[in-house]
Amino acid sequence: MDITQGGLDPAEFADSAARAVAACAGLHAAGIAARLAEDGLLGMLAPEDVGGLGLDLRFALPVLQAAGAGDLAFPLLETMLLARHLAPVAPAVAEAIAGGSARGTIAWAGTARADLTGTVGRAPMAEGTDWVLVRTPDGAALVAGGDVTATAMISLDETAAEHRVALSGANPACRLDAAAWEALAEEALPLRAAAMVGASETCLALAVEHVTNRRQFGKPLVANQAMRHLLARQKLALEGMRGALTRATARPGDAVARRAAFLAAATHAPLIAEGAIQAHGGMGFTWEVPVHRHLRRIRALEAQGEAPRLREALAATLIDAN
Amino acid sequence: MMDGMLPELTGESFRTHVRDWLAANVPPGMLADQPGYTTPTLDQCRAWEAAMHRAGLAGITWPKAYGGHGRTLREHLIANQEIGALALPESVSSIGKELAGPIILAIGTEEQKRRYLPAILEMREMWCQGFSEPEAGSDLAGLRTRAVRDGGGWRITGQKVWTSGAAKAARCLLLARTGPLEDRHKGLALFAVPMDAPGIRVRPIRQINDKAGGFAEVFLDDVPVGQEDALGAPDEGWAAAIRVLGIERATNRMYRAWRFENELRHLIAACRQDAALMPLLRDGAYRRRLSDTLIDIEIVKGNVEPVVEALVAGEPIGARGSLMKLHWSEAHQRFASLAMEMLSQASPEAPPAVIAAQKRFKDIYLQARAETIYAGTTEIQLGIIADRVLNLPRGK
Repeated sequence: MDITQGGLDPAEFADSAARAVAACAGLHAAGIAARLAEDGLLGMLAPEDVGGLGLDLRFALPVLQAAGAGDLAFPLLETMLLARHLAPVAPAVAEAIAGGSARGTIAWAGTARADLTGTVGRAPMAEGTDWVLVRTPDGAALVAGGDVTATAMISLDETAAEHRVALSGANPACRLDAAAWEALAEEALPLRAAAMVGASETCLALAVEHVTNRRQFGKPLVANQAMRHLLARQKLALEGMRGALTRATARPGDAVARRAAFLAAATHAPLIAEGAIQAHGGMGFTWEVPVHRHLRRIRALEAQGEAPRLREALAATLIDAN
Repeated sequence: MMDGMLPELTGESFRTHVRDWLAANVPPGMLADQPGYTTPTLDQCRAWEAAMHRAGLAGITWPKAYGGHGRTLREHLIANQEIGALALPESVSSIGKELAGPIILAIGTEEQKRRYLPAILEMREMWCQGFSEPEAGSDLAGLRTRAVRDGGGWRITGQKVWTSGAAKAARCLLLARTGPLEDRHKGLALFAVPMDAPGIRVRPIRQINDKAGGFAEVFLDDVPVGQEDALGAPDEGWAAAIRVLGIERATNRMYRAWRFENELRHLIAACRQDAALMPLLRDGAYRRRLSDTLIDIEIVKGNVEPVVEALVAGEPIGARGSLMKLHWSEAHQRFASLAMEMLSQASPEAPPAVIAAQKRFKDIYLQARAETIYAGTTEIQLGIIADRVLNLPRGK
């Protein structure tokens, strides 16, 4: 039993995380890093010897949920996982990332060549970052931001823009073995699901607010059963995502539960956000109604988590291993 | 094994007991996914369920004074996970165990609890549910069956419909009106009507799945019912019943997710046994739908487990039962359609195991049509979620 976690309740992080996310509005990445580090949020999963809080994944879920709900313009999930997994192999880098003085991200798509050349992608906010973790044939390697070329890629996300990262063959600062990379990638799944739950909650709340206030045919839209049932279905989807995530959280060793939690989110979150645009009518198609920002983010999270590959992996577990 | 022999079992030790007992005691031919399966008779089901109760696998949370085992809902969940993992028949007494029993526990008199509850668990008395009427389906407030005072007791006249298991039931949990129709929800009273009382006529209705002992019409003509069979006072009984129903919707047939998983694994195992079905398991589109089913099952599990924890902690669960019921029933329908589609491609020379699976999934497919109708239709659940979970304003 970890002493530092005795008496702590993950839910207690929800409020402070929501406040911190709200305080980050309008700040640039460096400012956000400093603000979140102040609250210990960047290093909450990292061990204490690199300045982290040494907490388990459960504690990060409400924080990622708040980040998703508040459309935080920062690669928080990547930062948390880098601080945690770099600690054993590059403690100084982990400490700087947990402390907010250095920024890092992870390229989720593609695999670099063994000599660290080639191009990888889906690295949130890689432009101007200090460190990028890239997948390699035997695990992963941490390369300096100055040694790579990050360019914007075609992506829906406007909040934490995804970058393509071209590698130059430079020496890495450290490497993760295959098992460490696999652990990191698996831990990312419930964290992504939490971010999608948060984003979906905001979308549904915005839709409810709109149909409650918008009047047509002499009555609010919410008086129409078609609208009530649409929103009820969104709520059903949202609580299903939450249920699968809660289950996965309670069973940290259960790979099926963990992957299903991410895939449940990847299935339902886009539908909730798309449905929220529909509920807004023409307003939903405007830039100023923020539902589209959440939809963009959700679609990026779905792609970063390689939902199609995981669906096939889940099928293989179910069918081929039976 | 008698309950008195395992007072100390909780959590995982209870699970071991349940698993071991089931492995040793399930009668041959009772598992629908195993060779030699034959549809069990009513008497076989009664004997089996009585045995499960004696072994501590039914009436788990009911007080010992009324034949229960006095354990928590956690042990109830554990038993249901193990029961669900096997392709056992549905309870032939679910109305008694999951509807009448909990209502009696909540509002019955001490004498009623002692009289009705052990008989339910010991499978001596099965119950049916007399709520729906020709003019009162989803809108129960429109029900017309009348209960009028007759000396110290009551006389009940009216008609019930969709009454499952009426022909085999010893008692009917019956809802009747004590005042005028205009009173809507007021003046509704609950009774435990003995089905052998004079003036009761049962007319079976043929169901789309042709199930024996399915639902029926029940005609009540001036049926005498003693005060000892009135459950709670008029108004009070119904209000309490609604509260119980809200919890029951979230906790009944708790084995669902695990039975659903058993069905999914059975479908895959059946496909392996036929040359024409085997390629479907390598087909990307079917693999996607099978993995979607597994995700749905994880959601069903993820919906029920926190409810158990909330109830054990004494927290209210509100209308969460509507979310659970709606998701499960629709997910199960999607799966049943998938199973029918896959198994319909079996070769004409399919082995007996595949024929048996076709038979099981035909029943499941047809039964699934009822799952989005009974216990509150999909449309009613959506209304409840909008009104009581999202708390949407009426908007008038």
